[in-house]
Amino acid sequence: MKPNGTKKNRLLVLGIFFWAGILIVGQPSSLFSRATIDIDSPTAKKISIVIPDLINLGSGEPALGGILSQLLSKDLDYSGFFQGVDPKTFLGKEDEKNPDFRAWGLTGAELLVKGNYQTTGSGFQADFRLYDVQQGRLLLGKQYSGGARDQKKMVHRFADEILYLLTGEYGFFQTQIAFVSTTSGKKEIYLADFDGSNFNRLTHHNSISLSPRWSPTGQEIAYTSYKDGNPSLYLLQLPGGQSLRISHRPGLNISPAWFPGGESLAVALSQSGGNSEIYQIGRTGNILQRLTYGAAIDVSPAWSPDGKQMAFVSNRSGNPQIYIMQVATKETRRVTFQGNYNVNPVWSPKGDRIAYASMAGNHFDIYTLALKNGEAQRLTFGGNNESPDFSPDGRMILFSSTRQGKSALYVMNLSGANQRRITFLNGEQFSPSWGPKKSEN
Amino acid sequence: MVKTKHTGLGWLLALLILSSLFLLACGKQEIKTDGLTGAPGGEQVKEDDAEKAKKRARIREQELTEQQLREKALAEEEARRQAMAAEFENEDVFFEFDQFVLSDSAKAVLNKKAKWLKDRPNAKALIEGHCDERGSTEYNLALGQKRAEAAMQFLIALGINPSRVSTISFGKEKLADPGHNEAAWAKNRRAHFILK
Repeated sequence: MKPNGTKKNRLLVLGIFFWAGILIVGQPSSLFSRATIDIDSPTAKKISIVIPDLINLGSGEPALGGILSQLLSKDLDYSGFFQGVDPKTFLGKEDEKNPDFRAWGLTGAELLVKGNYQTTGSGFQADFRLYDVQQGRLLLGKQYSGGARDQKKMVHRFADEILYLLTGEYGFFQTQIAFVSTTSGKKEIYLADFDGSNFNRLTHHNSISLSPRWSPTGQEIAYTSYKDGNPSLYLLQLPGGQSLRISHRPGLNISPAWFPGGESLAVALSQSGGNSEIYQIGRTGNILQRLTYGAAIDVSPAWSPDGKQMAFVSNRSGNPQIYIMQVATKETRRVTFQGNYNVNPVWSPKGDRIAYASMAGNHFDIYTLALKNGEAQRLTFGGNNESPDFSPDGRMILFSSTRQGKSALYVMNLSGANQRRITFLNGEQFSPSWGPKKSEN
Repeated sequence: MVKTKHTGLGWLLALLILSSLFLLACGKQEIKTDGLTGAPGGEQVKEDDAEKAKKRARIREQELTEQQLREKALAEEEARRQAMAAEFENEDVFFEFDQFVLSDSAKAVLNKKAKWLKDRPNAKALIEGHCDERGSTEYNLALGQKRAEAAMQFLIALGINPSRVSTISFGKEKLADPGHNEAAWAKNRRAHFILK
């Protein structure tokens, strides 16, 4: 145990030292200075990374080394920032302690991950090291120990560490997504890992359930369901899946959006008048304030990260467009001017842009709107692409698309690059919501 | 002897005496019947039994018929109710894309609905607002509500008591036609009427 602990500390110190070196001195690795500058750009060159099978140090399952290295490759590939290099192209001599960087360099990889694992009784221990191949230096070292069940979690955590080193922010490899699926024949709320794996049905209402939205704490999902007659709002407790009804007023109780921090929500209610208006309600459904007035439809609120502004959809101009309200003054301005159907606004975690869906020629595409200059950028092409939501670090967008027929969930980089499908379930999937980062990071 | 010996043998003896008394009584009746009416009397008894059985059968038959009549009446009532409901429920009011304004043809349909409701003062209607598949779930829920509301307000303006009409929006959640073309979309943009 002791040697391991010492090694871990040494690696950690080295890793932190190296990273701090980049940050403060702006020094050496051309790799990381480049990467941090334009990682989100659509033309950014992907970072090539080679991940040989983890080495089995003890009595662990022999095939596991390959399974875990492939999972790490898959995670990094999903982020869109990395290009995997086939480890079979390495022709040097395997050396666990001192990697043959010259030979690894010949594979074309800029980064190398080496790792090992061992089973200790009922426990499991894995060791990961990330090297800059050109510099021949250790960038990051982590040792994880836990139960056999935690194997994949360890890989996801190291993937998050790599992204942290690259971007200064933890990624999304330990997050989950919620969405609507018709797998059972009815619209129910489902849960899955960030990459669509480990899906799990959360509601069994046998009704119509819609619009799931993760709370900022990750402990609840707000959603709409017809299970008690008219569309009403519920909070689904996680874990456990118990459903709590919070608004069952006459008419519509729809379109939940959590206020930052999770103490309240903006929702759309029609009450007795029949027109949808946006209200801020407490967690038990009590109305805190009414936010919109008028004869037009106001729906789909989305808070800015600081809670001072709210984007929403209104047809006050004659068709659905996106507006932004300064909540304190209720001063409201229209921000979309192209097309006659702009909906699904969602604020980026950094607050600098809004993603939304816009219709042209009967088809929808995802756009982002840069708030500083009002410039809209189209990110998708083909099929209907709707219901965008940002990853917690703001670097990816999750959305639904019919580009391959039935509606399924897809992800892409903020730039629109690396679009990939992540759900392959029966039925159709809609309205995804990307859950927050786990607090353990 | 019987009194003194309260044993199994005593019980047996008592049983024997009772049996013989019973046999004696039967014998007496048989003799009596024979003596009074002879053979036809026996047939008469048989006939009575047959008559009773027939009567029971007739009663049962009658009961079945009444049940059938009741069921038939219920089915007819249900058919009448369904036909009546169908007359009211089968005709939808249609809307333009992203609109909840009532067209002249929509108003003509609503005029018929209002007359129908006036003729049946006990009928209550639920108006469902629906949209086509295009656009967001939430905006369509709001739009469907507007459509249902527009239809309801028109009926109220024609004199229908507000307590007799209510609304619900299904947005794009209950498509009448699952197609992805203008013909399907036009069928889906509707207010649908249901008797409560």
